[in-house]
Parts: sequence; C-alpha cells; structure tokens
Amino acid sequence: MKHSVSLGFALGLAVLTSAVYAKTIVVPTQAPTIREAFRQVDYGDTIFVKSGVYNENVKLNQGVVLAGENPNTTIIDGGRRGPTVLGEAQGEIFGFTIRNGIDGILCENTTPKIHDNIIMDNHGAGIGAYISQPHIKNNVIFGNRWSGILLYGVNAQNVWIENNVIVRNGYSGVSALGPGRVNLRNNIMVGNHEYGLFVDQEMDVRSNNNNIWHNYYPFNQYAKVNKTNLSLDPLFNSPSPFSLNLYCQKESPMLGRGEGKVDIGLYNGASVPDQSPSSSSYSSPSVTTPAPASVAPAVETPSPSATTSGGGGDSPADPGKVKSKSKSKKSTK
Amino acid sequence: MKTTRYAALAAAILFSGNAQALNYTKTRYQQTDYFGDFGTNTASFINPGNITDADQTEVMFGMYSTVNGKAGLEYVSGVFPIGYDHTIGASVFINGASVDQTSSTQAGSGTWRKDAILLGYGYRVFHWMTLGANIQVLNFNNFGDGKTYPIATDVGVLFNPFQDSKTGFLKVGAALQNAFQQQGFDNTMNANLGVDWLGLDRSVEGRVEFSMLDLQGQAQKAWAMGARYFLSPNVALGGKITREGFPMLSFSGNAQRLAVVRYFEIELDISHDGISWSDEKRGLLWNVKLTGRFGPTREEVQGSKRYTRLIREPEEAFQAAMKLYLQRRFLESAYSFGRVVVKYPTYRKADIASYYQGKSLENMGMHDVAKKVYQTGIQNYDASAYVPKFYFQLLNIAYKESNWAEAQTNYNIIATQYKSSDVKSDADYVMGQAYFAQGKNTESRQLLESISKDDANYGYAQYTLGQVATREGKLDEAQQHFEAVLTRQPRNKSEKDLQEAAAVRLGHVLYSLTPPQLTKALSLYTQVPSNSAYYDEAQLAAAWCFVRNAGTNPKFWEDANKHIDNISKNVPTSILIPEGFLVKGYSQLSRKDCGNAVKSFQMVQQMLGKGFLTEEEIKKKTDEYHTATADSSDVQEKVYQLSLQLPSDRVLDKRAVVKPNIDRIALAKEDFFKFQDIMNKQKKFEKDKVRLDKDATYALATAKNCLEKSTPGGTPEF
Repeated sequence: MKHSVSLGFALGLAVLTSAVYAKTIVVPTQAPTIREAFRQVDYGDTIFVKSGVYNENVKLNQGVVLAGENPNTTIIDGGRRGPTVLGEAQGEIFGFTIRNGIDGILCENTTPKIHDNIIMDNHGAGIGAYISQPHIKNNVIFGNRWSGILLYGVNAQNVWIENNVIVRNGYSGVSALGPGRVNLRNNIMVGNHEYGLFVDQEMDVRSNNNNIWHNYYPFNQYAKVNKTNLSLDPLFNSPSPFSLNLYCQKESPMLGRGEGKVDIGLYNGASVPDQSPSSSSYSSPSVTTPAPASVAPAVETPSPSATTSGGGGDSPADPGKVKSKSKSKKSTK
Repeated sequence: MKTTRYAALAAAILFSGNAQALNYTKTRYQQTDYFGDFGTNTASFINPGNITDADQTEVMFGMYSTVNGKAGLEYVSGVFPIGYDHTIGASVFINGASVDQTSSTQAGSGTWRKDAILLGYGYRVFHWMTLGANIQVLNFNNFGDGKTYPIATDVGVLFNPFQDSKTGFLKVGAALQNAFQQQGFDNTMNANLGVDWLGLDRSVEGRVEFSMLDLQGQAQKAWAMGARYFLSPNVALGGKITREGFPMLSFSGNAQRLAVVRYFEIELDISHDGISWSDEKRGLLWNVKLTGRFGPTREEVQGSKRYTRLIREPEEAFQAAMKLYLQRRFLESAYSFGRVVVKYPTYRKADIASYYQGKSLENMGMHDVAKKVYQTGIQNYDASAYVPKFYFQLLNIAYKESNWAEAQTNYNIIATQYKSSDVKSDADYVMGQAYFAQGKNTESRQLLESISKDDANYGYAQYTLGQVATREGKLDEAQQHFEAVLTRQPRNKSEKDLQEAAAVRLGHVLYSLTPPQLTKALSLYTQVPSNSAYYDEAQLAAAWCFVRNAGTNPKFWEDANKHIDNISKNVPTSILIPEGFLVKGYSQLSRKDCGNAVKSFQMVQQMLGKGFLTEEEIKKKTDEYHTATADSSDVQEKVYQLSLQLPSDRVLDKRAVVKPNIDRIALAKEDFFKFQDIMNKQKKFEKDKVRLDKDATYALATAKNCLEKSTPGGTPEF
C-alpha cells in the first residue's frame, strides 16, 4: 500500500476543487463564535479569529484553517470541559493561546497541523495525539498539568515535531508511548517535572538537534538521543508566566544550532523546509484575507534579523562563541 | 512490636497529659494534629475530597513520635484513581496501649485501643469541584468496658477556583468530620475549612486550616498552617504550626523512577514541646512520612484506554459501513466507507473500504464517480490485492454502459497483469458477455468456455453459450449448454431465474429440432412457475406444442386454450396476448365457432394496430427522464465530494440538501428502467407484428368465410 500521506494528499486534491473558491470567515465580525464559524465553512476555507477570549471547545474541520490574529491575545479557553481543541484530518490551527481545557489539543486518529500557538495551563496534556500524524511546529507548550506533548501510538514517519518550546509541564515534556515512530528536531524541553523526553519500549523516537535542559530527568533509556542534541540554557527572553516570552536572547546558544542550521526553539525567520506533502509551507500561512498581524507566539517579539536566525538579531557566525556566555552544560549524548 | 509500642505510649500520653482537657468518651483523636496539616492526598479524614488530587496509585506511611518515646501514632493509607473522575482510598490508623493497671486510673483490664479504618471515595463532579465521603470504623476498646465497632462518616467538598501558571493551583475545601455517627463512636464532630495553594512552578506550597472542634460539645476553634519551598525539584524546606500549637521545621526530599516506585518522598518534621503554646513535657517531637507512587498515572491509564478504543475504531467504522452496504443503504454506505478511507488512511482495510465506497456509488447508478473511486484506488493502493478488483469493476461499468473499448482495455489489464487473481474468471465472463452483445460469437465462445464448472459464473456462461450456439444454428450444442444450466442446483433467486430462462430456451431448441421433441419441450415449458418473468413465453410455447399436434387429436385445442388463458390471467399486460388470441381463434375455428373466431382474429388485428406504446408516449417519457436527470453528473460529483469529507455539521447539512436530488434522480432512473423494459418488449412486439398480422388476416378471412357459409368447417390451415 502506498504511503498514507500520499493518500491523504490525493484525497485532499480530490476535494480541493472547492478550494478554488475558498472564503474567509472573520470571528466575531461574521460569526459570533468559532463554533458558529465552523458551520459556515467548507473544505479549503479559513476562519480568521480576532483578538479576544473565546470560551469555547472547538472541533477543527477537515481542510479548514483556523487562524488567530495574535497568539498572545487570541485565546480559546476550554473552561475545563474537555479538550480545548479537537483535531481533525487536514485541519490547521495557528495563532492562538489554547488554555484551560482538559487536553489543550486532542488528536484522535487524525492528521492536523498545529503551529504557532501557545498551549498552556491545560489540566491534562498540552497536546495529546493518539494514532495520529500531527504536524506540531513552533508552538509554546507551557505549564500543562500532565505531559507537554503526549504521543500515543503515533506513527508519523514523514511528519516532524519541531521548533517547539516545551516548558514546565507536570510530567514529561514529550511523552511517547505505544507502538509507533516519531521524529523530533529543534525543540527545547526545559523544566518539565519528569523527563524532558520519555519514550517507552515500543516507540521509536528519533531526536535530532533538540535542547533538553533542566528537567527532572533529561530522557530515558529508550530515547534515541544522538550527539546533535544539546543540554544548554536556552536563554529565553522571559520564562516567567507573567511576561512569557520564550524566544531566545540574541546570545542564546540555540540560534543556528538546529537541523538545517536554523534555530532551535521558536523561529522567527526561516525554518526547516516543510517536508509534508500535504502542506505548502508554514512560513506562508494559508490565510489570505485579512492577514494576521503576526503569527509569532511571543509578546515581545524581537525584530527578526535579516538572516535566518530568530530572536536576537545578529546570528552568531560561529555557534561555539555563544557557549561561554550561557550557563550551559555540555551537550547530552 | 514497634507500632504497638508507639501507639501504647501515645495512648498513655493522651490519658495522662490530656485527661482533664479532653473527654475520653469523645476524643479529638484523628483530627489534623499530626499528619493532616501536611495537606496531602491521603489526609482524607480532613477532607475526603482531597483524594481526587491523586493521579497515580499512592501509598503513604506516617508516624508521629517523641524522642522520649512518650507518644506515638501511625497510619498507612492508599489511594487508587479510577478513570478520570473517580478515586477511592483507604487508611488504617493504629493507636492503642497496654497500660500497667496499677498506674491507671481506670478500672478493668489494662488494654485501651482505638484503631480506625477509613474507606473513602472522591468524585470529580466538575473540574472545579469535588465531592468526597468516608466511612470510618473504629475498633474501640476502653479498658474492658466492651469492645465495639462503631461507624461514622465524613463528608467534604473541594473547590479549585483557579489553576494556571500565573496564579498557581488553589484548593478551598470544607468538610464535616464524623458527620453521622453510630452510637458509641467516641470521636468529636468537627468542621474543617482548608485552603491550599501550590504555585510558582510548583516550587512553593502553603496551607491554612481552620477548624471548629467538637461541634456537639464544647466547640473550640483551632488553626493550623504551613508552607514549604522547593530548593530544587528534589529538596524542600518548610515550617508549620500544628493546631496544638507546635511550631515545626520541615524537610523533604524526593526521587522519581526508582525501579517500581515512580515517585518517592520522605518528609521529616521536628519540633520541641518546650516552644509550644502548651508545654506537655513531650520533649523533642518528630513526624516522618513516606510517600510512594506506583503504577501508571491517570494520564497513562486514560491514554491506554483511549488508544485501545481508537485502535478498534477503524474496524468498527468499517463494519458499520459494511452493515449499511449489506442492507443496501448505498448512499449511507458510500459516505461511511468514504469516512473510513479519509479518517483512517493507514488502516489495513482502507483499500477495501475504498472498493466498497465505489461499489456503493455504482449500485446507485453513479457510474461516473464510482469509476473515479476505482481509479483513485488503483493509484493509492497499488500494492493492494484489491487492484484487480478495481479493474474488474471498471470493466463491469464499461460493459453496463456498452463502452466496449473501455471494457476491452480493462479486461486486457486483468488478463495480462492479474491473470492469477480471483477476478480473472469474472472478467472472462463479463468480457464474454460483452463479446456476445457485440455479436462476436467466436471471442465470446472462447472466453465463456474457459469458465470452469466450479465457478459461480459457470451457469450463466453456459446459458450465453447456449444462445451463441442457437444463434449459430448449432442446436445440438445449444441443447447441451442449456441442459448444463438445468442440471445445477440453484443457490439463489438469480440462478433460479436463470434456470427458468434456460428451460424456455431449451424448450424452443427442442421444438425446433427435426423431428421436434414436443413432449420434452412441453415438460420444460410447464415447469416454469407463474411468478416467473418467462411464464407468458413458456405458456404460449406450450400452447403451440398442443396446436402443432392438434391435427391428430382435436382435444389438444382445449389444452392450448388453457395455456393461453393462463397468460391472460397471470400476465394481463403481456405482449404475447395478441398471439394468444390468434391461437384461441384457431381453436374456435376448429370447433366451428366461427363468430367467436372472427372476434378473436379481429382482436389480434386491433391489438397489433394499437401497439403498446405510441411514439408520443415514448418521446414524452424520454424527455421527462432527461429533464429529471439533467443534473445527474453534478449530483454525482457532489455525492463523491461529500463522501470524502468527514461528517461535520456543515457537511451533514450539505448531505441533507443533496439527498432529495439523489432520490429524485434515482426514482427517475428506476421509472425509466421499467419503461425501457416495456420499450424492449415493444421492439419485440414490432418484430413479430408482421408475421402475426399476416396470420391474423388470413385466419380472419377464413373465419369470415366460415361464418358466411355457416357450414361446419374442418381444421383451419395454418
């Protein structure tokens, strides 16, 4: 059987005929709630949500893009009623704070794209993915009661979990359970209350260029953490929840140290080129009108540099130079 | 035993030190004095709702003692989370003494015990509110006054107004201890109000408690508070003031993932009686508490259950779709199989689901989109065992649409690339039929003869071969093929129908032989039941068998008439009725019933003149059909698109909108299909019309002549 992603792609193409006529619904202008907006859209459409707090539990629709105006000010509050956001095949969400649900985003047997969000203070896992192939990229996953990202039976061979900052979650930053395979790269896992990366015996996790630092434990024996991974102080702009900004300072050793020479953690410039055949590119979100002001998940986003590195402006020509400025430890093995 | 020793000392202290302050028949024991103000899950006797905080099986052992050994208390408790909302717990408190009788102020035996067992349950009603209850059984032995096992219950409610990274995790609880007591329970009824807070990334925790003790007696207020700070994730320092007024220093350390113990914590509290509000001469005091967590967390248990459910989900969705398909609810099954394909692309039966999605559409007559599904299936599942089936369905649709070139293309693929697949013989049969329909007898014969006796298509192939042989004038061979059909045991209605058709065809072959085998033919005709589609043809043929021999036996006319009457009676709309009247007229003429014979022959002419369908009727019906199905392609495309979209509210609404159009087109097609059947009969009728008209004209002239002469006539010549 051919690879499933190509099937999804083919099916996507099949129903994409309507995408030619894709429309954008603006919340709350054209629909009072996100849920109501979902009743008005079809495959290929976009829901653009303006800043505000939306006390809803949202279910993504197949092939619909849910775009927030600004991840710091566009908030979906799950009201402890279940998952704040329920994923759906070929759905896409970005530009939100997703908080106060049981799970932040729950994916069951599905293939959504989750990027450029702040997923915090949920009462279960930040993102729970079961037998799914979620593309999780450039999110802040912070202070959730259970694991930051729980991957259960996920078999995502061509899908990456990348450039996320996974901080201070109740159990592990990333917990990968059950049979499957997951690829992690360019993520930062800091201050999680169990492991930075926990992998059970049945799961095959490839960890490249991640920074695993100051968790209760870094990772367990089944995690395949090679020498490309680091254990350094990422030098966040502000890890405090009162002024959360998890972009790295310009002295940070994370800049330019990721796979593909991009930054580890949140990027504000180029990322590793998207390899998912079902996506055009994350760097050009599929929102057309009206374009969000920014999809960067930080309050105080520093001006992006002219180079590919984010956060602090000047990219270190030699990543080794920044080592002495940080309180870093040696790379993990 | 150590436990007993401490407990004995505790009892002694309680009796000696607090004898005047406390009423022994209503003690304050098992309040929050020692362990409760640690504010942990297993302190369920403070507030039973507390235990829902546990996300993992937890076992705790606590011990209070004094360095001089004058007092002690121990307990063990466990908490077990069930699902997401339920938690159960149990605690055992050991407290007792064997006091030297000479030093006791009490009479009777020297044993005093007050052990307790608590069974608790907490339920998360909302994520911000928990209810809990305990049942407590005392083992109470007051120096031989009588051992009793009184029961009491605690109730509590716990609120969690906020929990986030900025404000921390706040709990506010209220509980009533020993709210309902059996007589002789011997502990006071107390009200507890507690506030817990955990914040700053779990690095600081604090607790304040206020209690009203002995609500039914001399109510007293009591306070307790404590706080601790985690110097690192492993080590914490803190202090507390117990409600008996002991300031305590607190040290704790923890470790995770120690073999089977997922989390282990040790807490040590120390104080000195000398600095308490009421110095009871106990000297240095210490508490120690050990906590262990075992097994999977609530997250892991929930995750495992969810995973198990989701693993089954595709199969359940597939089976549900198949059920709809077998119930011939093809629109629903098309949507359901489409959902399986889209939602579970890695499911091992996704290719089969795609196949049945196509079959569902095909069964609704939506050939255009069914072909799309099959073609997509071939692309997406190129290594699947269902690929030849996809090709076969494409062949089948091409055959149904008389698209011979496309049929040939798909057949060639099967015959060359998938010649060992199980659809090869099906393909041979369908292509053989296609050749037959094109008049290519040799090619048809070649494919149909290759179908083996074990094959389900064998009977059908033999029937078509019989028709090929008939068409070629090879009646002996045709006889063999039709007989081959008749010798098989029919397994379903379709095969039964086939046998009825074969019986009629074989009868015709026998009738046409030289010399004819009329008796055998008649036997075949008369075995066709009245509910058969071939009944009228069989009855008419049977009548002709009698007519053919009526010259030798005039009684056969009556038999012929009976069969003609059977047609009128059972199939009043049959196109064979005019021919029946012709036979009837001959019969009447043979009996010299010239008047009725004239009427019968005139009836034949009248019916032939009128026909079954007028040109206007055919045009009108055809126009109506085209109008009703003009948007068929659009509707098909919509159904196809909707079958590939997961059923959101929006999609369900759209499906509801398109449904009446599907029904309208299906009804129009069904009506037109029936009409086409009539038109086909009309064609046959037109074909036979010339012969019948000629025969009727001649016979009518004879009958009129007979009538004019009014003389007895012989058997008419025909």
